[in-house]
Amino acid sequence: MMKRAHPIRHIVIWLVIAVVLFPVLWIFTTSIRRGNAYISTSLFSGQTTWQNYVDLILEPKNVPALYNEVSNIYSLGEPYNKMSKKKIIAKLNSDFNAYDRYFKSTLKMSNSIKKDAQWINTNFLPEAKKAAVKNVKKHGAQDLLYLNKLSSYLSKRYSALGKKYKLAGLLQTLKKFENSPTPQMLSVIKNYFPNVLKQWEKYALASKAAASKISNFPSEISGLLSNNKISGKNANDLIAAYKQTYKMLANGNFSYSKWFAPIYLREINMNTIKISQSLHGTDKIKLIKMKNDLFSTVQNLNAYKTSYTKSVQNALDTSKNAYEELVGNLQDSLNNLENSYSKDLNDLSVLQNNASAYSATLTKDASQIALFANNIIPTSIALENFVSILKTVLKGESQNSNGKNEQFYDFSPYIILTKKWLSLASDQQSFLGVTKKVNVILNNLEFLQSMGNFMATHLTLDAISNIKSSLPFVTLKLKSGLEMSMPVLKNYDSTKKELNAVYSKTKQITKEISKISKEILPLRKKLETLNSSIILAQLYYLTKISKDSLKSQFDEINSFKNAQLFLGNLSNFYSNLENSNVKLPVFPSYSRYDEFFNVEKLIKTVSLALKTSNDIDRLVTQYASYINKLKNRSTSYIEINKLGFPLIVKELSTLNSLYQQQYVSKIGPNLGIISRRTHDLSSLKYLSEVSAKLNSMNNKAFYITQEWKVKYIPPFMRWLLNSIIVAGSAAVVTVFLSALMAYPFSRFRFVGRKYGLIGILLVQMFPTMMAMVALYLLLNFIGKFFPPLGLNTLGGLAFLYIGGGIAFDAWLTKGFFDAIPKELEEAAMVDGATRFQTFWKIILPLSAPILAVTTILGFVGNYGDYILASIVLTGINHYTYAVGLQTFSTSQYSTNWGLMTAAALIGMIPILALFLGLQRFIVSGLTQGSVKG
Amino acid sequence: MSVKRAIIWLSVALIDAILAWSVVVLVSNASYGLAVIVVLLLIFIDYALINPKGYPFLYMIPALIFMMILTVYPIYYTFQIAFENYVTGYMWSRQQVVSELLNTIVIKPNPKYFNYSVYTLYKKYSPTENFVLLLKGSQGKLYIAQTPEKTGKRYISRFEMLTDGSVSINGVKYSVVRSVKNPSKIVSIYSQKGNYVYFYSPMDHETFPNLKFFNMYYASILSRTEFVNPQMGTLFFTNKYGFSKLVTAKYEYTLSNMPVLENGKNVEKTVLINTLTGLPVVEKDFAFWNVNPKTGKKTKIIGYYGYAGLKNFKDLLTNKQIMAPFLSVFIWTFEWAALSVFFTFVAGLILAMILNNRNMRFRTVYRTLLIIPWAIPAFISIIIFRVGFFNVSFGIINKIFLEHWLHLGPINWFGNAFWAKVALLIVNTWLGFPYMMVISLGALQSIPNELYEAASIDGASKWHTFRKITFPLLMIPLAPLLIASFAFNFNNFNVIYLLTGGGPPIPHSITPAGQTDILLSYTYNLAFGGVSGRNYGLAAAISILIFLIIATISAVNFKLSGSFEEVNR
Repeated sequence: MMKRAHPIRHIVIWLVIAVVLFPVLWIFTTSIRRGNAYISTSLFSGQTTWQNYVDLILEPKNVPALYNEVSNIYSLGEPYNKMSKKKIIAKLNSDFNAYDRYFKSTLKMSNSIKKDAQWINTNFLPEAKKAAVKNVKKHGAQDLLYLNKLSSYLSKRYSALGKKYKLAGLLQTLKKFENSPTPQMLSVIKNYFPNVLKQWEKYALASKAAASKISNFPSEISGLLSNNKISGKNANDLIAAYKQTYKMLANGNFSYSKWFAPIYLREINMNTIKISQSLHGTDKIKLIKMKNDLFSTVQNLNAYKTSYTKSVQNALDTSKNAYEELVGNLQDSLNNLENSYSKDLNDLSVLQNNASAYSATLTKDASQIALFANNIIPTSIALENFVSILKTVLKGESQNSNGKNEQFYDFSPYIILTKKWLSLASDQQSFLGVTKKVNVILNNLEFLQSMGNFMATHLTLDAISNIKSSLPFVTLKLKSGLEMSMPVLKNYDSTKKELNAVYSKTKQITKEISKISKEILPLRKKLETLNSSIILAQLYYLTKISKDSLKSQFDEINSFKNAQLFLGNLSNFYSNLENSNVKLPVFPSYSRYDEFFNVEKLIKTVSLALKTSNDIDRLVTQYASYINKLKNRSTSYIEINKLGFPLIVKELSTLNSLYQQQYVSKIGPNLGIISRRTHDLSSLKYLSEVSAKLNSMNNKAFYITQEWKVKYIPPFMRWLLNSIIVAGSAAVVTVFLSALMAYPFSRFRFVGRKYGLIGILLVQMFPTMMAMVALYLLLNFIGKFFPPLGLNTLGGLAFLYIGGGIAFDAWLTKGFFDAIPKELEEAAMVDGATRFQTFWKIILPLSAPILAVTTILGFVGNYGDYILASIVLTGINHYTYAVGLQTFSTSQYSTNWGLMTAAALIGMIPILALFLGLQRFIVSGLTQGSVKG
Repeated sequence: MSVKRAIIWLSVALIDAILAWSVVVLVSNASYGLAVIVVLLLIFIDYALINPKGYPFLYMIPALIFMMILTVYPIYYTFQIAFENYVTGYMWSRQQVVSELLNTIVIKPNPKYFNYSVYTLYKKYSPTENFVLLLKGSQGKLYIAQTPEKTGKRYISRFEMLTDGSVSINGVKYSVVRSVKNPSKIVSIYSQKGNYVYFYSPMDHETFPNLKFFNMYYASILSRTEFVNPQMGTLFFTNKYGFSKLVTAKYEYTLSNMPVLENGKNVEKTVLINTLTGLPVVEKDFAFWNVNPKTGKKTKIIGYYGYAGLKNFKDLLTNKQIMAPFLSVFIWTFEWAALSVFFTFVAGLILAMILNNRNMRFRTVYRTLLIIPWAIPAFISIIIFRVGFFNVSFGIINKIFLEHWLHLGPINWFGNAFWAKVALLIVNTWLGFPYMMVISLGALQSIPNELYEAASIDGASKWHTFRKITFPLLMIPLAPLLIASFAFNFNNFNVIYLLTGGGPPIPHSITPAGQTDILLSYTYNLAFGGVSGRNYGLAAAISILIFLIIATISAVNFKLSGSFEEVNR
């Protein structure tokens, strides 16, 4: 072979190993991660905890678990119903002590959360707020720039649109008005928005009045100051501020935002206070009065300004309303049209239904008549024949009637009926053929009737008596046929009429529909374009308004709150932009403000943490007080219960409701929020200063939750122990019994040896599992007489494992024994040892290592059995590890991946260790022909 | 020597006694198969103990007991029920069915109802099992029922009407004690045995705390009690009303001798009579049937199992609704076993060839790391794969790899037959390739180096060397192992059952068959898992089929690996 280094081989192998062992890595990381991997979209998590392992291995009872135990003790459930009072009390006391420990640790952790939160609040947040505000200021400028660009872009598109739809008049007015209400504009505004004008005039007047009122203030103040010999920066600033304020008011060139940003006012206020400290008596009062006058004036102005802005807003709304009205009208007419359209369509479908129903009845009726016509043929032939017979008879006989007036057969009802029929059918063009036939019949009938007398007198004639005998049948048939077809005849005409009416109506409606559909189409199109233009107009105004209000708010960003306001409106603006379906140039990403929002999140989290830790303190103290009450009364409660008077312990239900109200609905979710938020925040760079504190808060919140939340922890260690006991004992017994069995096959020659071996080989092939029906019933049967080996017992399961493993092991062991030289035994026997002694003292010790390996492999095999165990075991406490692990994937635990993977890892590690430790034996054993079991 | 002899004889006697007793028990329980097995064991043990030539057999006795009971008997049993109609609705033997029918209680037409309250004797503070019942008829008449007495499996309690507040039953006089404040309330019943105190009544909320005790001790007695009065008839607690009230009822079926027409002859026979209709119960098709006296229509009451001949095998081969899914399962089983062997072997062989270099560094480390999937108990890996990896909405393959990273739609791993098969093969390859790698590595190392040197001198390409030297020489030791692996995967129940559960189900199949079910898991579903009922008979028939297939495969394998020669050695 070549003796070179193969870097590619190594790389390939490492890649393969990475893929192959990924599941194992995943199991491990999932078992120690803190969040819920079930819903997370990241493979791994930075937050780790060993809690799952602690829960599975130590099965600690946390607060709700203790509660369950204590309430079980008080109601004397299993196993306390059989315990002595003393033991119960001892158990209770230990539970109470555990409670105390939890209370203490919870309080400690909650205090630590509180401390951390407070530290962040006082030491970190002020600075962070400032930095965040600065950040907003920085990015906000860019957004405003974008807003300007957007505004000009929209105005272009918008004016084009206005021209197109001739809506320009109204819009133009608004547009001009927005820029600034110059005197030239006022006349235009008057027409459209009288209210705005009124407000504006009020405001302008007030502004001028204010200006005149404070016009003297600067000189007065400078006089006052020089009188008192006060000079310096403060004094200069004060006077400058007054001058500026006056200028602004007098010019009327004011902007709301500048008043709102009280730079000058602040300076006036600050400097007034500073200077007034060095003034005395009337001067002081005078200065302060002047300041107060200014401030009240400004306040009034502000009030005017507010109403003015409101009216502007109203005006904008009105314009919008006008728009909407227009659209609404259009929409209404369209709706009306569409309504009538759909109504017509509906009518049409009804008509069509009717038409088809009518035509169906018509065809049915027609077929009925045709049937009648068919049926009547024999009648008509018979009558025809009667008539012809009569006529021949008449030729031979005298027509005299002997003067007698006898009745031969009364045809009159049939004649009447036939006449009626004919009268009904007379209008029916469709039934001419039938009517003709019936006419013939009528003629014949009338003839026969007229001949009645004659026939009655000539009854002795054969022909006539024959006629008489068959007449009832003929008339009956005639009658039934006529009666059957009569109603059809009656309806046929009207149905046909209706059908025709329906047809004509259908035609009409179809015409109408086509007309409407022609009308609707352009209307729809118009509405569509109008709708889109309105969206654009709204967007345009939104941008206009946003531009101004955002600009003014941007100027005010000097506090956290103002920044929040600004960002709130900015985000509204952006979401509006996104929601409108108008195509726009790309706008900047809003995520640049993440830092600000994260600081905001931190503030919220800290306040939530403070609140929650207070809640926790309260819960713990209340809980502890009830537990104390219980503790004091426990002896008497137990005593009463022991006497057989079941007692409902009210404290327990109070505790439960306290827990439900305080923890389950409030503290628990809040702790979850705190944990999640602190985790998210702690990884941020600009919060690195507090990341340690946040992590500690996160930890504490998590562990408080662990102590207080309801957990479903299965009896995992019990399952593991069951598995080890069953698999181990079965493996040991199997190997021992198979060694006993293998010995004679290896050392003796006896009758049936060959067939015995073949039998073992054959039996070994029949997997135990296939006989599971039989085994199930067998265990059921055995359990009736010997319960330890019945269904749902570990003994029964071990029993099955032994039975399933013997044949295989015996075959294997025989091979080992064959390899031990016979001479050793022969020597021993010469020394007087019996056969059994040689087996016991020589063969077994010599093959002990290999038997040990076989035992371990048997153990591993039994440990890995799922199916037999799942059939035999049904009680959760009797489960083996395999059956138990399966419940993790099917029951209430199935979403708890942490617990499941931890259980998987605990279960696989001993086997993994055994397997890798015995690698050498397994590999060599394999090549001898065994298959993985 | 004589002592030893005595010990042997004594043990023979003891074992024989135990085994003979168990034979009696088995026969009385109609378990004839097991009885035969035990008799065989008895003969074998006696022979081994008594006959000096039977000495070698002595060693085998304990193992043989286990093998006979737990391997041979189940095989025999499986063969037996393969020829029986052992399905849901026919799960009991005829004997069991008859005794069940004889114990069925039915409410009489126009029933009378009785409310009751329990009065018990207290011992110190706790109630005892000595209690009487106060019954209240519909007209407000009061009766007292004595403590139920056990007769056979059932209890009987005599009840009598109260006259003037007292009554004597079977020589014991009972008199009621009424509350002074509220005379309508009876607080206790006094008799010579003691004062029975008011304990429980389903009508009285105040006594509900005692319900726990009632359920624990009285309920099981009362549910089996027949309340008797010659005038009033018998009263029972029935399934319909539970313990809320007593009803006049009777046993639905009784035994009676009747002449029955059989094979054209009138035969006197013991038959079941339905006491409601008075007509005999008809027995046919392994079931009992009630006959409607007006219409003559028959309705099935209950079925029992019995010998049905080749019905199950016939169903498998001729009943289309059974055969079609069975055929699909059958074919997939072979595909599954073959594909599993193929993928694991290819993966294992490639890795083995990469690792097959004595001078490679970390070779043992690599091998150990790659063995890990094999070393983990398979069921753990499978469960983790199912829940954590392949779960359609939460598994990391769909949720993270496909959706979050690649932005692809989720794969319906267990709802779509193709993807379910893909998932199965992925998991089984992961589980099985280390084994193939290890055996291939062993086989590769046994190929002498000189062959390769000769080949390289002759100028053979690498592929040529592999095809002409490596592969043929590998196949000599590996062929039996591959066949064995095929047989193993043929019955690889765990993977199928724990990963897909056999799903998705085959549409329009009347048996619980899935598109990824293999024969063994299908058998399991038939016997244990079906929602539509259990069909042990069909399951056993398929088991026999599996046994035949595996036996054939194994026979070939033993021939190849020379296990048969070992028998003759």
